[in-house]
Amino acid sequence: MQQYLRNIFHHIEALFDKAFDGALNPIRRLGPLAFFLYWIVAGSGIYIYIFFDTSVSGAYESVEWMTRQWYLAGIMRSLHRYASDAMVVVAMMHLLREFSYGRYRGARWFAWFTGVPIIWFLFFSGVSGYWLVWDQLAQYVAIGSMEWLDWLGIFGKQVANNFLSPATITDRFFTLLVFIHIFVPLFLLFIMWFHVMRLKSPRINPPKELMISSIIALVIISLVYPATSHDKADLSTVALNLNFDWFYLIAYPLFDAIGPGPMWAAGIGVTVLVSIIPLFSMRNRPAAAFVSLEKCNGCTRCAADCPYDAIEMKPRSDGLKFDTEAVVDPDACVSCGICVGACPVSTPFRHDEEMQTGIDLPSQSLKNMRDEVVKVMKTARDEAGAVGNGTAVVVFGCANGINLEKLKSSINLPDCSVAVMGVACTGMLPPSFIDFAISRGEMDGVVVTGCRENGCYHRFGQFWVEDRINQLRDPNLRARVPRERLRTIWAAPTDLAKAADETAAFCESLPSITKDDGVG
Amino acid sequence: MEIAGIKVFYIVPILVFGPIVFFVLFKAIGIGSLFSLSDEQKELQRKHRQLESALNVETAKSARYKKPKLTVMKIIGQGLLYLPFLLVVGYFSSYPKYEFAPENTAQIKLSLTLWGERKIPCRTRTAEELKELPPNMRRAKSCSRERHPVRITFNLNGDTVFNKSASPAGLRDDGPSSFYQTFMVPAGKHELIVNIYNGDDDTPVKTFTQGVTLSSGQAIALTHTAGEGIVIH
Repeated sequence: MQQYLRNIFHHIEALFDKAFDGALNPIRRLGPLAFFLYWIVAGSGIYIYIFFDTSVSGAYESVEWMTRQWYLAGIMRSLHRYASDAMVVVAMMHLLREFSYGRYRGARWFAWFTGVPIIWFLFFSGVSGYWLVWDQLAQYVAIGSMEWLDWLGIFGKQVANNFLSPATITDRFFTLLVFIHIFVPLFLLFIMWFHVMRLKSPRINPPKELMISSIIALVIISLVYPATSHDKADLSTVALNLNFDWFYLIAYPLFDAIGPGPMWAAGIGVTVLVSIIPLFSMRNRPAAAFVSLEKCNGCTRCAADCPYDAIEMKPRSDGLKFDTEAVVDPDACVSCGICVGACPVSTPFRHDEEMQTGIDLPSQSLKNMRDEVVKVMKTARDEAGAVGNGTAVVVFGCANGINLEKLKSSINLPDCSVAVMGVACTGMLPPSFIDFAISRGEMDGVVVTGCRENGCYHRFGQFWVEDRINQLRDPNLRARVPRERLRTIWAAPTDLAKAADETAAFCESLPSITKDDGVG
Repeated sequence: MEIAGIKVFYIVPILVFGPIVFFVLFKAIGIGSLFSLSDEQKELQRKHRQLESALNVETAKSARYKKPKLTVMKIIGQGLLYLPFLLVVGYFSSYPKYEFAPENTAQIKLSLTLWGERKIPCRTRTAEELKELPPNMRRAKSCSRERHPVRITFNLNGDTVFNKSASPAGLRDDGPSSFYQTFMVPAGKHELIVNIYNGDDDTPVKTFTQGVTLSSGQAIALTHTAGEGIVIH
């Protein structure tokens, strides 16, 4: 199911990529969009609070006044409503997408686990907002909520008794509801901050173009279809038919159908089940990266590149002349290997047997990488030699992009021999391996492939690779490597055919390139 | 007093919240960056230009720095992709309508808070007993805290639709017993009978009988107070 869901997202993302350039694709910015929508809700909420009357008798009229002032307060009210609804849609899509991508595994459990209460608080924030309009829907929602709470039996007196008749609801109780609607969203913001606190440079703001287009879209819907209220609440009546906000109130019809006990059981059951999803993957968690102090000079590159803040630079503990050393937090490490690619000692141009580097992965050490790439390149070179003047290309790919074996078998060019080598994340590939493949492995070309543009599973791996190739980030790919022999292809597993075509075209273009182009 | 149609009373919160909103928009969200590049971005741009000429590579092709190209077709495409999202948000924020109950239905709410009899009835303390007690605790009556549960039955037009016993609230079973239940009934005339029983007794300690005529969408509540007994709101 997870794989199907992931493929669905890949297709949706591809569709959105056509209209929004990669960086603006809202499907890849669901988390930041949820943050942005929160700010719209907060901003519009502060505005309408200024004109909101917090008494039972005046609340409805003040909301109606705002609705009638369609050009300002009315827009703000509608923005408040629609941005809140959009936040539910975006948050649920974010949850589904992260689930489909398996982004709850390993150290990412923390973001997943803290995301669950966000959903509760989001719903609670929205529901408490519906109380304040004090129309018939508010009456239905308020009574339903209190009945749900009363089932717990934790209150000495039934809270729902506050809504028995017009005489039982007081301004004081209503003010309490207003405060709930202010403090629950504030607490929601606090948990949202908690949700991203273990991420390095968390993206909490979408690109400005996306902000603008989102606001325009929400203003359009606010003008075309402004939010309105039902008739004023009247506790001597019961509303039989309600225009319903299904995003926030979907649980209430269920509550009416099955009662409070089963609803609590269902709510708690689903919450526990969703919360413990990361537990199911804990057994297969790969071992964390480790530091070899004798090779670590405390350059800080691994700490700077780690997308999960799993590496900290601490004072030197082994007496060597350097100030600091890298220390890995195994609980925060997801074994993406980006630190290995960042370490300047991670180079295959060495003759020592151990191939020890400053920081390495137990599951795929630098030595293993070198041995494997030498082996696959030799096979490819031999195959290319067997057909005469054939071309050999090595493809470095990641575990979350296209399937490398399928890519290899999809390229059926007699003159082109393809070697493939997988790493946990493309960011794990030290740029010196590209140099090595061309200068020592006698490859005619190198392809580096990974997740789609701006869609790196490990957040920054793709950016660091490009920056290293473009000499914007250490360790750089040396200038002597002819860039025309190098191709980056960012593709999802569903883009196999396209990636195969690009690789084949690249391979075919290579024979025209002479080898006297500066490679030492 | 009003200024430009806004009550002066409202201007105070605007002055208080205004700077906060301004701060949030410009600092926390970073709307200010919409209008100018940060020093870091300017430095990166300068470095790109240098590299492009020195290395003959197009760093602009990098995903990280690629500037989105907005063409008319792309804007139309974005609009088309936003449209289903807006339709979903707009439609499901109000529709389909939820029918809580059919037309010509009314609601009767039973919300009773009743005190059960004490498990050990109160008795008058003797003079000797009072003497043994500290002065501040010399109450004439000695009563047990624990109370019996209360059971009620609700009879609607001859049918018993509710028959439930509730324990007293509190850790020492010394609070009232509470009942809360709603009933949807057809609009029209109804005969209501509520019987209140103490503990396991078969004979009600109180009976309430009342005929009501309810219109469609009307809601009534039956509550209990010590002074008035059961009342209909």
